[in-house]
Amino acid sequence: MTRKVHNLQEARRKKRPNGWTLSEIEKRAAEELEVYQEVAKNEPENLASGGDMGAILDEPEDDDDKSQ
Amino acid sequence: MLATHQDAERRYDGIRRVALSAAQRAAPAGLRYELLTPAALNAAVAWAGASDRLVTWHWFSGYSAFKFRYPKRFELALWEHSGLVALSLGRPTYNGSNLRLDFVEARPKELGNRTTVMAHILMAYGVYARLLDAKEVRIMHPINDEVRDYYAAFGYTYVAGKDYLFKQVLT
Repeated sequence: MTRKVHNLQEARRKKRPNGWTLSEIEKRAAEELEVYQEVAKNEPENLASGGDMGAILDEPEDDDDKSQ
Repeated sequence: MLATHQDAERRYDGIRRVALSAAQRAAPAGLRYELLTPAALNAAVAWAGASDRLVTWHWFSGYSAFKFRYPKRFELALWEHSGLVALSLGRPTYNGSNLRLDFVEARPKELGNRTTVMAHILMAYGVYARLLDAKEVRIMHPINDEVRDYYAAFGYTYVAGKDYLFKQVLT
């Protein structure tokens, strides 16, 4: 059963768009970078990833298959 | 260009800038995140002369096509002091549930010493993924086994059939 919202402004204030606040995102970024820096010590001398940059306009659109 | 495309370009340009600013605040001194500006694309032209370059991409035309097709894209140029050290382009998947890192290239080592780049790039992708509420980040088409294994060390899992690695965006 759906809950009736009586105070729309308050409900909007409580709703967190995208589930994250910017300060939470920044905190998480700093934490991740700290962990990543350890891994980065083993970075290959030269690094690149990607497909055919000349075929960007020809790529299929529907690519949302699940990973597992 | 359709009005809806222009609108998306405008809205997502704002999100890209927020993401890069947030990444900048977490970055060490000396590193700078920017969009793929003409200055960045010009700086990457010099990479074509490096004999140890792994790819033959033309960033000017590649970026132009990517920008035309994907208004929701993520883009970043990573600078170390006044030198460009990496470029990357990515985009949300069709339904927006995942964020792809489609292209990344670090400046060839032959052109001079530079900092490591991937940790900083993945951190920025994490920021953009969370701003979009994407569930995972995918690194598309690692160029060789060494690079693939390096990405795996960040906690990414390789999907052989599709040739990408993915990692859940942790909450």
